[in-house]
Amino acid sequence: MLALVLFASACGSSADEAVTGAVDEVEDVVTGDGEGDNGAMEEDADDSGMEEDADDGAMEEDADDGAMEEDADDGAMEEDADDGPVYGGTLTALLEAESDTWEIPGANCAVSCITVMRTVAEPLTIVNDAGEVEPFLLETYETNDDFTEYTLTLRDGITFHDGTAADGAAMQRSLQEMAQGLLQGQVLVDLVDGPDSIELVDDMTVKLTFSRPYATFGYNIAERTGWLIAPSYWDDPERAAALMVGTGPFKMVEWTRGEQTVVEKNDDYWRTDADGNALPYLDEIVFRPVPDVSTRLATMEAGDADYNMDSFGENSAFWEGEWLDNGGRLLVPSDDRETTYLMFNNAAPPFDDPQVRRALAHCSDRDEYMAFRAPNDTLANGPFAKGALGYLDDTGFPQFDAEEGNRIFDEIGRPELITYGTTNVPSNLLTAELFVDMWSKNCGLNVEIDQFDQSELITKAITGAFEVFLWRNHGQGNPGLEFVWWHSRHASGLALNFGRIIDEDIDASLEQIWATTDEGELDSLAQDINRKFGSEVYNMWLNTTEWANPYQPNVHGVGVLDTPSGNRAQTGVAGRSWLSQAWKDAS
Amino acid sequence: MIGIVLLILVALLAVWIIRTAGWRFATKRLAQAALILLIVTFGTTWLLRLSVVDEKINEALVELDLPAESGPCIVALGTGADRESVLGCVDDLKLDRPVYVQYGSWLGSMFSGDLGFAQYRTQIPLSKVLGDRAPRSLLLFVYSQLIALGLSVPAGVWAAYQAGKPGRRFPPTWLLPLIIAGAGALGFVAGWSGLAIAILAVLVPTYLFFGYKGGSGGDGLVNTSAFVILSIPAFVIGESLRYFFAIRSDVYDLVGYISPTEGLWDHARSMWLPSLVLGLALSPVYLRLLRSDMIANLQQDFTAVAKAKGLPNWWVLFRHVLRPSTLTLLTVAGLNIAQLVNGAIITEFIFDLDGVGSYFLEAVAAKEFFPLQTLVAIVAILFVGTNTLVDIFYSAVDPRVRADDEK
Repeated sequence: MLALVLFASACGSSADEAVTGAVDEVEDVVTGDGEGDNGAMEEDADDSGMEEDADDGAMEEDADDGAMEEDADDGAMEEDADDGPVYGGTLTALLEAESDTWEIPGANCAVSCITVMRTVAEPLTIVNDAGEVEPFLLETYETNDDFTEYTLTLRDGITFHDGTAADGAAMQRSLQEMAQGLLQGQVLVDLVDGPDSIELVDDMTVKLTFSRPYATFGYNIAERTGWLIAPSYWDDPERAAALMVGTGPFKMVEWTRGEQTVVEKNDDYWRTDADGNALPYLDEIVFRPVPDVSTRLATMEAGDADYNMDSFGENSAFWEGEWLDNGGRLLVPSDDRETTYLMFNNAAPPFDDPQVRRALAHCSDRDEYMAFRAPNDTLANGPFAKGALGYLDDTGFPQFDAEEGNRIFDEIGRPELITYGTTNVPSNLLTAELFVDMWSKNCGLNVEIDQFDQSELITKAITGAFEVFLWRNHGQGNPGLEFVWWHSRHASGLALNFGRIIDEDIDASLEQIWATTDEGELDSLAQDINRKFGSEVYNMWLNTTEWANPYQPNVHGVGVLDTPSGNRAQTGVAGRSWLSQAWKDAS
Repeated sequence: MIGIVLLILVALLAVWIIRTAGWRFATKRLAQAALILLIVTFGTTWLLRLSVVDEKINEALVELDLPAESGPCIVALGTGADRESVLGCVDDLKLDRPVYVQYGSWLGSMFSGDLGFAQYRTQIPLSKVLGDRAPRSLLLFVYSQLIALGLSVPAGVWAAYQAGKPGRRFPPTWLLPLIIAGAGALGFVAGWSGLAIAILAVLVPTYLFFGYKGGSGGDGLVNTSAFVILSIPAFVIGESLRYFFAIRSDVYDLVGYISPTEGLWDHARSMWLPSLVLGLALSPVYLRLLRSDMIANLQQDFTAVAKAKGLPNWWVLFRHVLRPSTLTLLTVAGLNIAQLVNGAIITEFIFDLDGVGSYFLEAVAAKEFFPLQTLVAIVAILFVGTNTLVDIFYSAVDPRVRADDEK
């Protein structure tokens, strides 16, 4: 036994990380926290970060060409088009968590759920690799001048997996169900008359009317809200536990909770690839939820799975090093990244005072944080990553300057006590201890750590029972999708504007964003928001979050989706990708 | 329906106990069992309610004009929580009622056979989730127990037999530091792999050497091995074996749990390594217990009589000495029923088996009180029931126990 232990420990750093990380990961899974770069919060198992995808619909803005799989080490590029697809085979994809339900209107459908759903359900629109919304299931997608009315016309000839036609009535039903959902309902909350504002115009056309401009609606229906789901699913009295019925290239045939979800080829699938070849290529995809990140890594290393998703920062060195060296592949990540930051409660002392926030930012050596807690990530000065709309090199965010921080605190007085909240995940606690140490040494602040269970994180955020804690969010592409996190109308009661940001300028910018689709205007308005965050220090930005989507050398087509217009869809963001056109080498 | 079935099973069990061990024994044990279950389940209910008390959250909830007990509902509903849905949830789960009212409501559901839901938000029945997960944990437990007993019983019997006997002399004590130094040097030169190979090169001959007429040296070697395994945490055993058999070689496939209905061979292939991990973790304790009891019983008069009658050694050991030596082993094996949930958790994670243990943790994290109470009750019933059966087995295995009890 001892010999085996020694042998195992000798045989590669991944084993060491796996062993030492096992305790963390068990705890992560225990607490439901995904240990990303520095420990964060997500309602999926081990993914780090607060991934609140439900209300606005996550937007995957991948500016990169999804067909290109770059070997990060030597820049070697693989062009899928050269190889050509092989039909047949089964792909095994590892998920970081099991989905509670496929009842999307009320489900917290995050990375794992989206990855599965993208194979069986399809959105009304899609965001292409140029970042533009275009029709997908829709034939046409029209809006009036002020973005308050949308007329959606479905393509002909599409059927659901149960054989029924995907028509206007089905689309109306799907959207109405979404409008009544606990989570998706928040996307459609501005309908003039609730679900009744979703009118059937003709056999294939539906019209929606909103009470205010909603220019981002096209982006919202490019994911969850826009998934077209069969009426037979909605009619199922036990739909919470039922299999999804959509129009996708695969049909859901089995869902054994905690074990696997199996999707099989849809022989009647309507779409072809860019070369006119029938889709899908694979016979079957088996999704296995494996919450423990070290087990997922080991499974990939052992060659017992084909695809994975991993946001655990400490694994990135493996994926970008040894994995690629051994011929493995990594999906090229999108420019849009989630951002990890310290979120202040801007409505309660001490952080209701902007000078306190500013001084604290001056007291924080974020380079030190990066070195110890996120060495492979990029420092963030705002919520928008480089390459994304709204990005700025200099947002005016206060840089580390302990002298200035002390000067401000000497002037306004130091808070009696700052409470830094953290979940009881070891990695989160390390980050907390780093900041506590930093703030007390650099600026003589009195800081205590309030540890709590992961399950309490959402409660604290929604109810505002916190002063500051680590968070991860944003990076959804279209800045309008950040509305619910930043607009003051969501800052009261059980608030989704967790930071309780009440800023007229940000409100105005968001409302203008909702009234335009012009990319230049969106960029400019998002930059205004970025500058406001920099000057008001509503959050302390830390780093962008890197995801790894590794897959085996014999797998191709990951991240590839040919749109009906001949474009490519965005590859994905924050761990989500496309497997619809994946294929494997002939064995 | 389930409640009726359970009642019938309990009645049948009671009849069997009465017939085997007497009505006094049966009454006493069943009454104890019922009391224990009541204390455990009520205690769990109460402690779970205490665990959610976070003053800051409670204050914030009250400020929002919500019941202070709404926390679990916000956890359940997540970002979909609005005032209406939270109040509805509080009412459904009776969170604003006294704990004894909640307990009574839960108890009533249990007796009516309604195990409730696994998750409030989705209302997926707990029975369905347990139906999916329990077989995995149960099979893991059974296989691991078989492996543990399969390893510990022969080794324990052999070690006990060798104890105190003259045997082979261990190589001179002064050689030991030289061996260790040599292995260390080799490790320094050849790395951890070389060191591991060197250790194996030393250990294998050592085991062979003491395996044959080893005497007290052999007993010592078995004891030492047991201590080494005991000192290695289960997750280290699991991770190491997983790396060695799944990644380094391709002997084990990390495909998660495969049900027996999908093929016995595939099922065996998916379960052998996690079972081995858990079995290895359990075996040293069993070995040590059995060895101690065997040594004590080998010195008893009945053993001497059996030997004097000319019976072969193996017959004496396995027919006469082993049986009364298993009492402690049975007790511990019975106590290990708790491994069904808590001990197997790490193994379930490492090998992606998704059994009851992992669901338990998910429910704790999500503050799903009712499923947790139900799970605790089920485990408690299993625990108490198994240990009651173990007590009965005592009577069957060792008539002296029955005689004592009837006095």
